[in-house]
Amino acid sequence: MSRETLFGRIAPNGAERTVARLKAHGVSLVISIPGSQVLPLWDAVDRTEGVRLLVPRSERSGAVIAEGYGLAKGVPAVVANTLGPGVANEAVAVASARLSEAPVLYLAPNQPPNKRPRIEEVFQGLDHAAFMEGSAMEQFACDDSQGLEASIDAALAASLGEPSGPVRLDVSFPIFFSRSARRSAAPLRRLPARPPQVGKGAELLLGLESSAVADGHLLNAAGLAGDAAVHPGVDTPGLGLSFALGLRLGRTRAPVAIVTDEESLLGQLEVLILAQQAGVKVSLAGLGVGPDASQRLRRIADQTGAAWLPIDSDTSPADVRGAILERQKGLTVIVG
Amino acid sequence: MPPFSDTQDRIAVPAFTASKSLAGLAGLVNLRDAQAAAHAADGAARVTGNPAIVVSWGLADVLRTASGLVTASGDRQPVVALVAVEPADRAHVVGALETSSRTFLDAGSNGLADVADECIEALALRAPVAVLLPDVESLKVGLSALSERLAAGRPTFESPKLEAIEDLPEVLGELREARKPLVLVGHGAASSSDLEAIASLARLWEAPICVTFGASGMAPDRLEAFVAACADDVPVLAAGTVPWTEALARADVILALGSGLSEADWFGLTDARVVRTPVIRVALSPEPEGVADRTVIAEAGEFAEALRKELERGGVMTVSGWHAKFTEARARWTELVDSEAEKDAQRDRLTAPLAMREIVSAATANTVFVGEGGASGMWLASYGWRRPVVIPAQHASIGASIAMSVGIREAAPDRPVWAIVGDGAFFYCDRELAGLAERGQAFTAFVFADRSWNAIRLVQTLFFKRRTVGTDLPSVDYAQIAEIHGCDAVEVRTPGGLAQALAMAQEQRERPLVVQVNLEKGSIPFVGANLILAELDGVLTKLLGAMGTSTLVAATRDFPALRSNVRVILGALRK
Ligand SMILES: Cc1ncc(C[n+]2csc(CCOP(=O)(O)OP(=O)(O)O)c2C)c(N)n1
Repeated sequence: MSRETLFGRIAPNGAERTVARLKAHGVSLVISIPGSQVLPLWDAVDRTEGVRLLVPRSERSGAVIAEGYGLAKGVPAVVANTLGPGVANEAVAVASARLSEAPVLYLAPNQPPNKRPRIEEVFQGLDHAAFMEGSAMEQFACDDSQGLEASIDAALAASLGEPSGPVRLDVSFPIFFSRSARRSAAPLRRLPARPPQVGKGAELLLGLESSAVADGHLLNAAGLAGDAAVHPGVDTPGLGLSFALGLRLGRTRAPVAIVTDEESLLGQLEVLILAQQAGVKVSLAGLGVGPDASQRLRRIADQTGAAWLPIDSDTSPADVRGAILERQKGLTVIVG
Repeated sequence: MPPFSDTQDRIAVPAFTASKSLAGLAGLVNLRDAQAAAHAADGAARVTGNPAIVVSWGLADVLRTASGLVTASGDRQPVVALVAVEPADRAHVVGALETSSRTFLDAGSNGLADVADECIEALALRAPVAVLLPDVESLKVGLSALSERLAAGRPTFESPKLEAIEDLPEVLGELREARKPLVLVGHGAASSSDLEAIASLARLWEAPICVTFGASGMAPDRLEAFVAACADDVPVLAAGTVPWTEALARADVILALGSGLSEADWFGLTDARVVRTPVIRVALSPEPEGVADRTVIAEAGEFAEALRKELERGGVMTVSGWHAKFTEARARWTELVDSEAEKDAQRDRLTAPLAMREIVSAATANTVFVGEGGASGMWLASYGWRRPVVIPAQHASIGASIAMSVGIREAAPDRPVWAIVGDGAFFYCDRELAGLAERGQAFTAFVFADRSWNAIRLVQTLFFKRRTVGTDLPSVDYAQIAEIHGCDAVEVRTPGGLAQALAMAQEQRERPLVVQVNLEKGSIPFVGANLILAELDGVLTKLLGAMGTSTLVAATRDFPALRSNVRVILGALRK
């Protein structure tokens, strides 16, 4: 892990050790909105093959992506947002993962111990652990560089425990920057293997936006009534698209679809843009919506780079489902 | 002080919600998202200096509200969150509510009635309050009861009498000895103290005034009065600007009035004490302990008046030319930022400083500017500081500006509201544009589209030897997206295009206007973060060692503002 340079070997910094440990445990996705304190992590991810950085357009959306991902993959993604306001924006998503028992590791830089006595007045100071007490399943803290690997192990193991769920690990942020003399880290113990919680053996993975499925109408029209569906743990509109993108990223094979409504879609346009950036092809369709709405949706597709799926109320449910199945590696968004 | 808004029919204070089960209550302004609703209440509180309410029902909305409340709470805005959840969910929200407010009240079966007095008392101390009510019915009842009570008058706080402070003569004496005094005006003083008394003190003491980030967001009427009271002879230095940093580093005593000193991190006066200037803090609350050498519990304006009298009696020891130095430094800084813009104007390049200069000069005097924690916010702070500029200070949160503008628009309907929105931050609250459009409200958002998380990108180049990772953004047609939300929108790429868009913004409008300002990736006017991070391991020299002098020299080429920051750092090290 240490690097050879002109000046000899440099000990890895805490961020590099963190990413190496995560990778050793099979973690391959880090979702993060930047802040100065997480930059060393970004740098380390960028230098690590097999671990990828996804930069969403809000902390909340990124955290909900992690929920879907954890459920579909059985291995947690790491959410690493900046301290204070970054962590604050995760609250509803953390609670959601707790209810759906999605394994997620929330890794946050924390103010160093000397700042915590006056945390309320420190620049971007927030007592993360107190704030998340009712949302996270379990929380860990690391203030000592020597214990870094051990705390990552403990937090990951807890996220994959019985039940699985969102686990937080606060790391005093100077640890990410500082290079300490090399010493042996705790030996790596394999994490409990967890099969994906959703979509086992299913032909397609169906995500739901809670507000869109009050009656089974739309699901019937899309031929999806027989498919096992999953939704975010917290039953609230506005999370579905991020959740579905997470399902898509966590599930390497089989198509993923999300059934939603126009208002929820309009509140999550950035997810369509992010999906393209993440290499996911999005197809958008309106089902049982009037011509005006249809036109609006087409415009959204144009603006966000999504493909337009030409279906309407004359398309038979079987054909709609067939069209979704054709998009094996894609994400199909059905708006009703 | 302006009275409470009288634009609503039943609820007499600005009140916001995104919860469907509360929609339709007369007087409540509906938003799409419950976090945005908290930001809206925050905006309303900032612009009036008076309480505003956010109401939320259910686990998801209450947690979103708590997320938004963090920003309000950081800047001690008098926001009340009235919330309720199903009994089973209570345990899931209490921690978030306690931490995101400064006062948490868990109301029993009687609802608000039992905790109303405590709520009002907390508001008088400018502490955001979260009230957890037993059910949705008690929310509705509580809302009308509270708004009626708040409408009856602004909550006031009985501050301790100066005479009761035992060591007052000693403190005043110590301050009088100062040779290079500086007055730091914090949000507490900015929102409720006698600002004329503070200006008079600074004038007699020949002290420059530094305004904290929090105080820069004081209610517009107060800001106007304060700038007038300081006239031309008391230099007022805007938060984060180079003369501000320099003054704070050079002073031999800092009198901090009504400040929690969260900005201390920005100028190296942190717990690690990179800068060792003594700080005497005057505030209503003893918290936080740590940065100040001494805290006097008193009303800031009264204290300022007492100190002024002491100086009148005993004489002023300030070295000659001390405050004139900053009048000059401020003039130089103003010239510098202006020439930064002018340089680009000459080359016909649309850059952030040029755009900001043009936008500020096109706005009417009563325009309220709303900004974010990113680079665009720093430019706004540099060019717009004599105007009301609302930027989250303690948390420097990004993504709240559009939602805050909704609240400002409601609470100060006669003032134009112009927001400067980072492109990275655009999608946090973009959907709230739809509400403004539906209500037919004028509002202008300038999206600073530099295709990057610029503030962070620049820190990255500094840390990692000019290497950037992940901080570039794809190009997105924000103007089209704004149209999808029901707004008018234009995209501009040149100074001439911006001028046309500004002419549109000046027209009488019945819908929000979103101007996508395509900018070249550029610099930032000040680099506070390097000082915050200077605290790594508590030792600044280590950072300098790690970065290497050559990196630092290279960095000063990328960051004009860093040059003076480096001077300050080195000066502090020498001290
Ligand atoms: C909620 C929140 N998340 C993250 C940050 C850290 N942060 C500070 S500035 C910044 C970049 C903002 O980018 P953009 O909105 O494009 O503005 P720019 O700096 O480019 O002007 C970020 C992510 C923050 N302050 N608040």
